[in-house]
Amino acid sequence: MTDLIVKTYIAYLPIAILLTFIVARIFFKNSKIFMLDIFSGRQEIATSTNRLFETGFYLLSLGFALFRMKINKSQFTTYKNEFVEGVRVSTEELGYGMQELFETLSSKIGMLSVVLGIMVFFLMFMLFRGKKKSAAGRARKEELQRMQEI
Amino acid sequence: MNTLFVYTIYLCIAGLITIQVGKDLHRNGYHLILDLFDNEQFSKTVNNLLLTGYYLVNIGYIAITVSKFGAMDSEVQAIEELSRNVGTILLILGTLHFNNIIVLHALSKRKQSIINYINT
Repeated sequence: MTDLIVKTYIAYLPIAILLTFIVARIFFKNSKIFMLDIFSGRQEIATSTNRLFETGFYLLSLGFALFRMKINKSQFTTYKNEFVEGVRVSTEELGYGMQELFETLSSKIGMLSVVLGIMVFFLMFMLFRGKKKSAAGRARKEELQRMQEI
Repeated sequence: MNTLFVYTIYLCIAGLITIQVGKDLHRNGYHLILDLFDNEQFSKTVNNLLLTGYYLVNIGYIAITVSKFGAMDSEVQAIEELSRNVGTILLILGTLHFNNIIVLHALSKRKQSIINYINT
């Protein structure tokens, strides 16, 4: 039965990595415009901040994916206690078939994608907040300039 | 499962990730630090010092975790231990990295507020 567990891992890893890469590509391709706005058009610092966030995103999501990969085997094990001639004989049986494979695989990938979604929404919130803050800062600077001119 | 073989794979993966991520951060973090200090020489120095500290912390942590592997009797356990340890390293790296960004951002904001204060 450990054979099927290895198969689950082999199926899980590419899906998790692919999912992370696709999400990160889509998100950070579109966040560049926000970064340009936040850093008021300074191309260099906007690109490198975007790249820094992308690296952090990859690190956190792949780290989570690998950290949570282990399958809890006690969930599928059935313990039996039998008395053979007055002596207790305990046996363990690992019931891990094709059905359990798909169930664990889908629950793990679902967990990963929920976490990815939360992370994407958090980053979006940060981007909107940064945009608002930088707009307020720019307005303040213009006001200061106008006051100095007067 | 041969324990030494698993350790070798682990050290290769962890070292590669550390070095690649370090290079990337070193290249891209420079602009952020330059924005903060406005002095090329000084920001290069700070950047190199940060990279050195990063390597020291990470390689030290990797070396410590080698002795913390659990039992690896079968292939399954070896894969599980490997993934758990690499995952921990990635999570720690990510947390440290976001922490760094937040600190740099806070510093640059403080500097901006000081400049605004001087101007008024």
